[in-house]
Amino acid sequence: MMRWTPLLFALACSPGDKAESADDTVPTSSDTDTDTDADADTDADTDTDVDTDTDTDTDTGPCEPSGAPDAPLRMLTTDQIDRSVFDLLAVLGGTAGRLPADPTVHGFEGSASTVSVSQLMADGLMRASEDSTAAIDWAALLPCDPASGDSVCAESFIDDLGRRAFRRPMEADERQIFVDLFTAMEPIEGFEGSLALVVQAMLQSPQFLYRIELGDPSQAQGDHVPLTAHELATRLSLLLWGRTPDEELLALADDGTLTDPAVLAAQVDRLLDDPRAREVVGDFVEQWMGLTDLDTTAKDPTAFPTWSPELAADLREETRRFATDVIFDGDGSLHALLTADHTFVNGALADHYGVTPPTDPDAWERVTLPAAERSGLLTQGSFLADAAHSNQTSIVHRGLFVFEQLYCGEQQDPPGDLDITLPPLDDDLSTRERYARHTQDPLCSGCHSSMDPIGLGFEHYDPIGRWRDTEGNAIPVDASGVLTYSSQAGAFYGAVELAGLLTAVPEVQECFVLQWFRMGWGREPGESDTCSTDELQAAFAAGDVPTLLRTLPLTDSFRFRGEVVP
Amino acid sequence: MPSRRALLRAFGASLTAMPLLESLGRTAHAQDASFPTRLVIVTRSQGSLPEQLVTPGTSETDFTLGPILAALAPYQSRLTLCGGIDDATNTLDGSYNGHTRCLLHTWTAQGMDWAVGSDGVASPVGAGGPSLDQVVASRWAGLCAYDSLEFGVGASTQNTQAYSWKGLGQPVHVENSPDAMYERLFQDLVGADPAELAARLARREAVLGAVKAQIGLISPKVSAADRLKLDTHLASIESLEQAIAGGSVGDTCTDPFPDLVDTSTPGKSKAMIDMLAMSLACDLTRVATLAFGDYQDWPWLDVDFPSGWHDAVHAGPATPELEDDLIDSYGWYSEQLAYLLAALDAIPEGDGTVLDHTLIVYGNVFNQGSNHGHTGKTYLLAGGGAGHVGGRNLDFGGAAHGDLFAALLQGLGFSDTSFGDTAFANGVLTGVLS
Repeated sequence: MMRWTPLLFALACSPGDKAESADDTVPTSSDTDTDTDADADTDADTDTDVDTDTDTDTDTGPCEPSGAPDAPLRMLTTDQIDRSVFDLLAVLGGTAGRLPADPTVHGFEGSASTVSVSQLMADGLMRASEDSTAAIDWAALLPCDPASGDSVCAESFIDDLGRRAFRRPMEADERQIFVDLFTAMEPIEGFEGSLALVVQAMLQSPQFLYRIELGDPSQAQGDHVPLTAHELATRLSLLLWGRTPDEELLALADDGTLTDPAVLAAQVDRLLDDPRAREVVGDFVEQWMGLTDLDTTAKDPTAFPTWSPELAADLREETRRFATDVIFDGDGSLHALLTADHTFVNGALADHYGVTPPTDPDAWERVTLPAAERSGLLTQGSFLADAAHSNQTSIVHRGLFVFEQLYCGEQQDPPGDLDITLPPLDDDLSTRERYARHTQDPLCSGCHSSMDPIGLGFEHYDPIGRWRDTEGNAIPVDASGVLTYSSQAGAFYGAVELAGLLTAVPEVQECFVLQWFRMGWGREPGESDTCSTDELQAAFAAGDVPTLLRTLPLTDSFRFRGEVVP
Repeated sequence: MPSRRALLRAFGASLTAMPLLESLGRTAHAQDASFPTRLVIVTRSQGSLPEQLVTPGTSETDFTLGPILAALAPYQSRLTLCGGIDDATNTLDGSYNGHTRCLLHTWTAQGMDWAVGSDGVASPVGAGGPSLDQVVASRWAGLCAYDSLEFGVGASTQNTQAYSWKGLGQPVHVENSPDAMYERLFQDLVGADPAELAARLARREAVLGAVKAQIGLISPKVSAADRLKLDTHLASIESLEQAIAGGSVGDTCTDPFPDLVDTSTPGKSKAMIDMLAMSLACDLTRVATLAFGDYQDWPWLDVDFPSGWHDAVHAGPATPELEDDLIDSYGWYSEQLAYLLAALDAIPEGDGTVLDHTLIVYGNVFNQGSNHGHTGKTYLLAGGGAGHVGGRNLDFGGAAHGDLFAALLQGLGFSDTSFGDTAFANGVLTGVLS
C-alpha cells in the first residue's frame, strides 16, 4: 500500500549526534508555518536514504479503507469570506483590516486546527458585515421595489439570500430567526434598514462562516456517511473556486443529483474550466511557496534600492500568473512548474530580470528567460527574495523550503542552549565559507545537512532574487550543491540543475499531492484517507496537475465523512 | 461612577480638541471610593543584553539602571527588577531553544497544546493553558465593558505567536491597528447623537441575538469537538455584547485623541499607549496587554543592522557598534514602557494617579537575545497596584516564572499557591511585591 509518509522519518533531522530514531514518539516542535508532521505509526526505514517505494502496490481489488474520513470543523478563510460576500451581495467583502491575518499550517490557510473566534474576531466580523450592508444596492438585490417593500418581499429575499449564504435551504427554525429579526426591527429601521440587519446576521451566522458538514446518515455505507449534496457543493466550490457555490451547483444540490459521481465529475470539469479556478491555483502556489508575507518583507534599502512593497507584489503576481499559465494554459505538469523557461513580467520585473521590457510598463508579457539562469518556480524572484535575509542570502531558508515544502520533510528546531549565533557578515568570505561550521560541526550538521548543501545551490541569486556572478568583494559565486537525501541524492550545480533533478523525484511528486490535500482538507491525511490518497497519487503519476485537481473531489475522503457523534 | 450615558454627554461637551490633561483636570472629581486595581502586561520577544540591564549595588535598593533600561530612570522608585527567573516550561516541548512558539510559555507557564490527528500525529496548536492576564480577567469578568484588552504594536496575530490565551485552543488576538482600536473603544462613544448611539446599540444587540440563536441551533448537531469551537465563538459574541453595551465609566475619562495620522511604529505605539491608559481611566477594562512585535528594520532609530534585526539579535554584541545599536533598539522598548508609566501617572485618580492603582508586569520571551535563552530572565514590575513597592532590584536565583506569577496573583487578592504547570512549582515567591 502506498504510504504518505515513507520519507518523513527518514527526512526528519536529528540534532547533533543524537540517534536518529524512527519510533521517537516525543512530539517535535516545529514552526506551524513550515513544519511537517511525521506519522508516528510509520514503519519507515531509519537510515538516511529516502524510501522511494512509492509504487509497489499493484492493487488487484478495491481499496479497503481503515475507518471513515475525519471532517473537523473548518472556518472560511478571509479570502473565501470576501469572495462569497461579493457573490451574495455584489459588494466587496470587508474583512480587510477587520480580521487578523489567516493562521497558517504548513503555509496553508483554513486549517481546522486553528479555528477559534476571539472577541476581536467577533467584533471584526460584526463591523465587516456592517460595512458590507452599507454598500448594498437594494434596488438591484431585492425582488421588489424597495419603496413598496412588504413582508412578502422581505421573506422572499430572506429565503433566497439565506439559501445562498447558508449554501442550502434554511431550516424552518433558522428562517424564523431572520423573519423575527426583520419583523422586530422594521418599525424602527424601515424596510431596507431591517433587511440590512438580517443580512448582517446571516454573514455572522455559523452556517455561513463555517463548513457545517453533518452528512446524510440515512445513506451511510458502513461507517462512511456521505456528505449531503449541499455540503458536497460547498466543498467543491471552496476547493476549486475559493468561494460560495454558484446557482448551477446549488440547483444540482437542491435536486440531489450532485452526489451522482457522473454529475459531480461534470461539475468538476466545469469549475476547472472557469477563470475562478485560477484564483485558487494562485492561492495554492502563494501559500505553498510561503509568499503571503512577501509584500511586507524588508530589504536593506542601501544594498537593494529597487526593493519595494510594489516590487514584492509584482513578484508575487508573477508567480501566480506563471503557475496558472502552466497549469491551465500550458502542459499542466509539475515538471513545467519547476523547469519552464518562461515567465511573465511587467516593466518593473523586466528590469529586475534584465529582459526587454514590455512597451507598456504596466502590461504583463510572457518572456523567455536565460536558460542558464532561470528555470521555473525555484528561480523566481518571489521565492528567492522571500527565502533570504534583508541584505544576504539564506542558504538555510532556501534549503529548508526544498526540504519541507517540496519533499515534505520535517525539520526540528535547534536544540536547547545551542549557540545559534549567525556567522558575521564578511565581504572577504563567501557564504559557503561563513556557514562552513553548519556542515563541519556534528552538532549542526545533523540538521543542516538537509538544508545548507541544497541552499548553496541558490547562491547565484541575490537577496532579492537577481542573478549574480560574484558576492562580497568580487568573490566568484560557487553554486555547487548536494542533494543529501532522496532517490536523486547527489551533487548538482545551481538551481537550474537542481530543478531538473527534482522533477524526476517520486517523493517530490508525492509531496505535491500532500500539499494539495492539506489545502483542500485543512488537516493531515490519516489512515482512513489511505484509499483516497492512493487514488490521488495514481492520478498524479504522470505529474499532471489538472488531473490531480480533477481527482481531488472524486475521492471518498472528499465525498464521505465519519458519523457525527454530537 | 457615572453612567455611560453621562459619559456620552461629557464627551459631547468636550469635543473640541482640548489638550488631554486640561480636559482631565476639568472632569476629574474628588473621590472617596477606593479605585480599582488594574493589571497591565507589557510583552515582547528577542531578549536583551542581560549585562546591560542593571548594575547592582550594595543592597537590593541600591542599583543603577543599565543603558537598556535607562529610559526608566525617572521611575526607578516605582519599579522592581525580578531577576533570576527561569522559564522552565520551555523544556517541555522536545528539542527546543525557544526559537518557535517560545512565547506560548512566557505568560502561561505551561507546555504547549498538542493536537493528535486521526493519524496519531501530534502537532502543536497553541498554548497549554490560560495566560496570567486572562486568569485575572476571568476572575474580574463582567466588571467592565471589556474583561481584557489587547493592544498590539506590530505583534503577530498568528495563533502560535499569541501571548494571551483564555485556555486551550483559545488565543486572544491583539489589535495592531490604532484606527480600529480607537473606533472600537472611543469612537462609538464620542461625537454622535446619543439617540443614534442608542439606536446603533439596539441594532447590534438585535443582530448578535439572532447570531447567537443560529449558533444555538447548529451547536447541538455537531460533534463534541466541533461544539467546543462554537462555544468559543458564542462566548466571544457574549463578550462583544458586554463591550458594546458598555458599563460604568471612570470619572477621569475623556477622549484620548490618539494621533492616528503617524503610522510609523513609534507613532502607533504612542497612540496605542494613549488609548491603553485612557481605557483604564475610563474603566473600560481592568486588564490590558501591550504586545510589541519584532521589527526587522528600525528606521526611526540611528541604528544599522546590516542583516536585519533578528540576525543582529543572534549576533549579539559582536562589535562595539552592534552592541550600541542593540542597546538602542532594546532601549526603545524601555522608552515605550516609560511612556506608558508617564501616561498612567498623568491621569489623576483620588489623591494619586492611575499609575498608583495599576500593576504593570513587563516580560520578555528570552533572557539573552543571541542564544534565545530562557533562564535567568528579568521580569520588571511597575506601578503601585497590588501593593507593589518599587525601587528594588531582586535576584531570585533560578525560580520558576509560575511561582512569580502566583505571587502576583496573591498580591492582586487571590489565593493561588501556584500558577501554570505545577511540575515546576516550588512555592510562591516571597518578597516580590514589597
